[in-house]
Amino acid sequence: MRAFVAAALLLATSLAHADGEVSVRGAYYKERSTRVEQPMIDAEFDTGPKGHLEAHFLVDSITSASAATGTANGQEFTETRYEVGGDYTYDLPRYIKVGGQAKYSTESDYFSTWLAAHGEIGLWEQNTTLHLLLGHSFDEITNGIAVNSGAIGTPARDEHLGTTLVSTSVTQLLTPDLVGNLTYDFSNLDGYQANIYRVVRGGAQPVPERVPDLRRRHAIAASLRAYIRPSRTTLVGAYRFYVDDWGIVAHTPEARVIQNVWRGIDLRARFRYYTQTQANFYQDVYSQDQISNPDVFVTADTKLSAFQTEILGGDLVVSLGTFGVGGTWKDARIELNVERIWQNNAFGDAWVGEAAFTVPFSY
Amino acid sequence: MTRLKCLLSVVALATTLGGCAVVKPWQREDLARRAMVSDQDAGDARFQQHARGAREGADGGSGHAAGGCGCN
Repeated sequence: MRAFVAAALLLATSLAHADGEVSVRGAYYKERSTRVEQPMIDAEFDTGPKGHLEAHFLVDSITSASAATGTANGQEFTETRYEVGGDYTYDLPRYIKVGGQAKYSTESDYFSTWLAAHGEIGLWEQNTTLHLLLGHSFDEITNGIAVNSGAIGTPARDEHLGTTLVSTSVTQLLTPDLVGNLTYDFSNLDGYQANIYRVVRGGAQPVPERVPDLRRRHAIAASLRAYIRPSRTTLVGAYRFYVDDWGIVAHTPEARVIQNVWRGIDLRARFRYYTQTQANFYQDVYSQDQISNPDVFVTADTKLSAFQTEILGGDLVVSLGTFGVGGTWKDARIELNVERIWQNNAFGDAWVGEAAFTVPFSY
Repeated sequence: MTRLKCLLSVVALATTLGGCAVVKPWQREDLARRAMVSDQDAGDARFQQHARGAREGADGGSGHAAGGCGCN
């Protein structure tokens, strides 16, 4: 009996230190010919004194009149995607963490399975944290449903794509109010990378786009995060350099300000600038010879053209404790986010809105 | 390969420099603030990466998987 009571107390003590958080979020994206509605739920919680689990589920509803979604001549079409994922991390001695993650995404014409392992080590009294992730996704693409329904007249195809990601990062505490991060991601994509519905026009008749089966992508991102105590302001500056062997070079500077305006109320502002060069095989117009030659890459993908994007956004985050709510709900928070996106390409400008409700808990 | 060596050198240099500066645990009150750890929730970050990945030729730099859908 004593042993049972001791074990129960020990369990209760360990459980009392366990924390978790559940978040429900809705995101909305609208541009000229596409809108996206994405409800999602995220949960994270401690699984004992050394384990931590994160999980999410989302529904991605994309309504578009673009031919790239398999629609017939501008008709609006809604595609629904479901995604579930999880990430488990376990603490080892000497500030080492190891873990694994998995994600599965399914829609009518695209199925993706992602598996990854990751590790982390803290050095020099955890002033420096090194992180390494190795993952691979197995994707299957088909246009069978659109063909069978008569939406498109091209032959049925089943394609595959494998993507390997190696990511390494270092996070460095620089001063008591300044932290820096440097991340390098290398992705190797091998397989079908065109859009299975998109065609290139300009010849005697449209042909399916043709892009290389191999793509190697490098991205290096650096960020600095500073806290200014007198004004309760957090400043974030970030920059990403990207290059791949399709000829795209991109620069992405970003600045964010998080201002605590009152106890439990944060305002955030964000500006992001993005510019890229075009892929070396991208052309606005292809000649008849290029289109009819199966050895020549041809694409109508706007993402492979040269363009710039600017994003300006603002957030309001309010804790329920601000309104006098106590107990479990005191630290629950509501987040509202609006973003305006200017894109000087065929996609056109866009609006993004998000609303979230998050409840932290201990058990 | 030269580019890769250069990137790895930068990471190695940053790591080495890290050994020189020490912020003691009791000096990390501000570093532990929510906005200093991450000012984006997981769902927000995932949606943003997904939306940008479907509209831009570049991707990566976040340490998270990209793609995985037919929205290209």
